Amino acid sequence: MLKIKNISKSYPGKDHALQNVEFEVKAGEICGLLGNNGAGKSTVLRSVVGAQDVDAGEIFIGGQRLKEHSISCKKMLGYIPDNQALYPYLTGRQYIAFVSSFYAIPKEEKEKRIEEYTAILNLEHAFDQVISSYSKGMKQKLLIIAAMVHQPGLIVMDEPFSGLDPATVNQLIQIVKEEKRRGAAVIFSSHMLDIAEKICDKIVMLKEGMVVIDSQLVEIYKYGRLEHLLLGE
Amino acid sequence: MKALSKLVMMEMSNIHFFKPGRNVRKKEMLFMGMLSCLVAVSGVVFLNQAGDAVMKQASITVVFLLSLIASLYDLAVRINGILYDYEQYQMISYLPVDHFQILLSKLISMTAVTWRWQVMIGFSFSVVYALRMHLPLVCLLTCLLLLTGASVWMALAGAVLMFLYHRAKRYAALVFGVLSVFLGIWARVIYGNMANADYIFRILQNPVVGLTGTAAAVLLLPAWASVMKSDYTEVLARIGHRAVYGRKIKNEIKNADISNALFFKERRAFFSFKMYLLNTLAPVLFFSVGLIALCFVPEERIVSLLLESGYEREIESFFPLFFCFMFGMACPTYCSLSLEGKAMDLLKSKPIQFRDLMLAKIRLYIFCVFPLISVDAFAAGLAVHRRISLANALFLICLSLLFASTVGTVGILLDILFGNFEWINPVSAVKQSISMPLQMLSCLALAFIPLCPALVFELHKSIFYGIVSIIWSLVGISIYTLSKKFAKKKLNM
Repeated sequence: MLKIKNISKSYPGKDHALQNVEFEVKAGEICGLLGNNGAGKSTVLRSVVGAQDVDAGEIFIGGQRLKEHSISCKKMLGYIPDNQALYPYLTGRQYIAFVSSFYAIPKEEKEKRIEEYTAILNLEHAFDQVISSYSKGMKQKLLIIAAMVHQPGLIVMDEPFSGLDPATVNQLIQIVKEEKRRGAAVIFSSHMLDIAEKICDKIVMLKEGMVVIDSQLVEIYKYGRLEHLLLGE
Repeated sequence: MKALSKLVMMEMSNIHFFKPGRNVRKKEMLFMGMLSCLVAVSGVVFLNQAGDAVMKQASITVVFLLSLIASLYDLAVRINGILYDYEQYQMISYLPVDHFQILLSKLISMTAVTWRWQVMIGFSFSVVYALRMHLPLVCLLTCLLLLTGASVWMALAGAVLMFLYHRAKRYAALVFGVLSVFLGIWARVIYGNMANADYIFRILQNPVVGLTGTAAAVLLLPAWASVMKSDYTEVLARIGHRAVYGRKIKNEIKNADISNALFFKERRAFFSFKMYLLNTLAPVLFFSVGLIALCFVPEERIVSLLLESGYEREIESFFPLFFCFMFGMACPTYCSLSLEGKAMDLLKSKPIQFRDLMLAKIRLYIFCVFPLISVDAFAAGLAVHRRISLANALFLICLSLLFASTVGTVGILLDILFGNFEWINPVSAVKQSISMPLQMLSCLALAFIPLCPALVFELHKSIFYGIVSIIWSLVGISIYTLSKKFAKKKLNM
């Protein structure tokens, strides 16, 4: 579903934010993108969703080249950014309606899904309030609903578990597992290694913009625990 | 005293000139310098060109009135942010300082907000006026005292209104009404005295008047700060509660296709923040009120004013250009990409084209100003010609919409090139971004550069506006194409 081929990216003042990064996430697979701060996780994810361009290399979503078919690729995407940048002047309901209007979802289907997700994530009580009154966790829940409402083929999540209470973390894990069963590919970055160990099929570890590990989780266990690998022990 | 001076410095950061960022300070200094020079140069030109001696002598009253309007506008835009900003208060609430000191520093900061306009416009002109009219230098001191006194009184009046507003809106409305009547009488007195040059000269040469007024207002500042401190925290707590538990809003996006959804978002963004509204609609509203008021001035007075000016033909010919310019200047906030901030990443990840976003922004602008443009097009006909030609009014509407769309497109291109998406407070995206003054300069250039050939070759009105329409359309189309290209390159959209 997602194929990243040799991408590189540099910023002014940071020459090699990404260097020849290459990996693949298949449909029905959950991939954890791990690495220390500044390793390039968010840069990879932002490049995948088209929020920024890469200097070299190619990104394919559903077999289509992102650069050439950006609109059709983005239709297959669901994205949860790490900065919780929402529109504070919209209500939760308006925000979801705004986001879902970009995808062709039948009205009844859309309403059913929204109802389902708000119930699972316990957001019904605040759904008609303006987003400026939401807590950090509530904003994260809203972003989760917005990313899932069109049942995307590829779900990209940047630090999705930060700011969530344990119950919501558990609900999000269940949602991600459900999406996997549906056949969606999921890629997320996180520092919560226990969660990554619990749900990931595959781990990609970045260090200074380069892929140092790209392997199935079961394979990784042969070399040691994720924590030790991340610490470089 | 030390705590008060530190608080004053912190509060002063509401004014760009005192902001920690060197670039912001430089930009503000440049702006202040430019405006002061512009006023001084216009003053020199006017005082040398005007034939009527009474008109020359009375000009200082008109300029003082202009500086008063500019300061009032700036104060109205900022007053709530300075006096009752809950988030700002939270940041200093833990400091071991008295509320009296906090409020006094806020009142001083409000005075400074208005005072800089008085200096930039009123005092710059006073210097030229004193030199040209051969007045003693003591007049400059009087002018400065009068302008300073006006600033302090304005800050006090604003604080009283806000104080009442947060208790009961009807009291604030009552006091606002009384103040407006008072201002109206004052304006009438000034209008009457404009013909009485001796009166103006007597006032200007007597610094005691300015000194007494300023001293009285300065003494009232701490008194009013101590009145306000009585329930300041309760009022702020109420505002904070309102911010956290915002209103429930039920309206939904209708006909949810991409362009309608983007337009809905733009509309909600615009009307949710009073700063956008005040910052963009206020000048246009002032202009509209002025135009409509002109319709009620007797015809013979209008004719005599036009004849007195000596530029009757020019005013009539180039009025549509000025009309377009006024509405074009309202564009910058509407057509700003920077306002998307960090949410821009989310938009980029959605299957939308840059064209849709761009059109939604221009559509919002047209949605907001179209009613005003339409009314003003007819009012302009009535005010200047005393008759309305439907064809002329329609032409004025189309021309100003074309101009505004072109300026809006220019603004979007500038925001692609110099946009600031990393702001925390949207005011910084609106007021401190370099693309904003650049857009205003482009507006000025687009409106007035075509004037040069028209004046040189003495083109007929209809030929001139035909050429201008073609130029604006071509510029608009080119900028639109360029914007799409740059959006692809810079924003990856």
